Amino acid sequence: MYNSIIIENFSNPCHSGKVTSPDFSIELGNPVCGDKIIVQGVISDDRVITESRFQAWGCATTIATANIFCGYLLNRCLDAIRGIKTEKINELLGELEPSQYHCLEMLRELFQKAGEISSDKQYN
Amino acid sequence: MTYFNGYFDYNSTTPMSDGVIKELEKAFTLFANPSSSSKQGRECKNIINLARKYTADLIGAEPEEIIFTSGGSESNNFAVKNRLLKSIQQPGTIIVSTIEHSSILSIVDYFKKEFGFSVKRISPSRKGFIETNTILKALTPDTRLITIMMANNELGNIQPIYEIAEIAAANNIFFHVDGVQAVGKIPVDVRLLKVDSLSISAHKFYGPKGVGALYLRNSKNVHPLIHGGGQEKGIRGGTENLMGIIGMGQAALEAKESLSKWQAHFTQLRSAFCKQLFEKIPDAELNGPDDGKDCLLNTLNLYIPRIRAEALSALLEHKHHCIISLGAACSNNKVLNLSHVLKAIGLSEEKIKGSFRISFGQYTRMDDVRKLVEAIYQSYQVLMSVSG
Ligand SMILES: Cc1ncc(COP(=O)(O)O)c(C=O)c1O
Repeated sequence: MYNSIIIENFSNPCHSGKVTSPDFSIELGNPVCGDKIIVQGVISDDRVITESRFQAWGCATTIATANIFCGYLLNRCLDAIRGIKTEKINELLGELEPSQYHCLEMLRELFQKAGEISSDKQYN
Repeated sequence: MTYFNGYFDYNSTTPMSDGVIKELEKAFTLFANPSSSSKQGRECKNIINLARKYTADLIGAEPEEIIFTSGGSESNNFAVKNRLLKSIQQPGTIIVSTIEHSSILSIVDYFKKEFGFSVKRISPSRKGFIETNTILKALTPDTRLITIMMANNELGNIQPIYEIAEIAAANNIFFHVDGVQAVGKIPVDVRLLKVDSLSISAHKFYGPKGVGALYLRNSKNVHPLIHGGGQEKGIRGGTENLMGIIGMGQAALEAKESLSKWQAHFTQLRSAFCKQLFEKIPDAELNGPDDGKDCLLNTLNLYIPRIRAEALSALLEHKHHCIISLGAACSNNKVLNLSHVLKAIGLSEEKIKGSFRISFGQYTRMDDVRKLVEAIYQSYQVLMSVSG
């Protein structure tokens, strides 16, 4: 039902939590199932994400998706995140069942929103 | 039976008991056709008839009133088909509750669509009970069939079958009862209940999967379910499922012997579970009957605010090795599958998504219940911290 990547990430959602003074905040909702993800992070002067944390309301796969996303952001430069290829995004969650495809859509949207983050620290 | 420690989904299916496994092992080498007149064939026939007697005894029926089938779904289909085919020339009304199993709801819909029967759907009360006055109100002169389940699989409610049977009898209406969840958990006596037919399924009471029975009070002028070699009084042709029937007979024998012991056991497990859970999560709610009255004592349908039961169940399975069952499933991006039973008792989508079912069985121990509560609590805390 869940692949090993998903199991690992919802069983140990190590990136959950809030950031005290975030440089950016991304919010995403799924109108069908009501799932919601908020990701916050800190960006260093050299445009690297040095902290990323999430809050999530939703199914196990949504929690896993948010955790995987935060883990990916961490210690990566904004430009690398902006340039991520669709194939790479598709790989991050592993093989999904049709009922879980909406999480891949959420992940793509998270990356899209992350790509819109500007590094001049105006995003809050 | 340590293997079953984390299993809390006995309403879905049960493991075969040691006694059933032993009987099946003994039967592996039986191969004669029960219809054959050879000595071995007659032996097999006798074994089937003994199983029929045990099955009949479990529900207070006569062996001649038992037809072996492939399970609850087939028994339900057969009972409904048999009754409605008789009035296919003059289709009338079917009275059915909205919380029946899909094997009833689907066949009733089929007869509506294909043959023009009209359907009156009875909604349960907020706590899942079918009230007899709603049946009385739904009666029409052309009612051909009333079909109501004895106990609901999701909530555990035990319905007033005796009272409904009286209404049906007084109005000369055929009354079918889906007894799949009740048989093996509470005493069922078809003589006392005066129902016309009742479905049972072996895998719900420690027998094998894929075998069940239909109690049919009057098997005259029955439309055969399977036309064939005359087995099962010509009602269901085909060489009998010998292994399945042997397993079911043994399971029925054990259930009859152990029923009161199991009921006492469930009472203890239930009260321990409720006490411990509500202490740790005071705003959890029971979706079914609060006090466990008129309810299968092994069944608890619960709602925990602010979390998704799906995520809870995933954590329970993968971190704590506990199996429970859900009221809602994510099916794809477009539709969310919400339990028709929880919808019928008026729960909001949000509540259904936070609802899950726990069902105990004969192998559940007090210690398993303690571990389950702890696992639920830990998982609940994880989900609460993830949602901030
Ligand atoms: C109330 C009820 N009726 C019928 C069935 C179907 O029984 P079977 O699985 O033997 O076809 C079930 C099983 O889930 C049930 O719970």
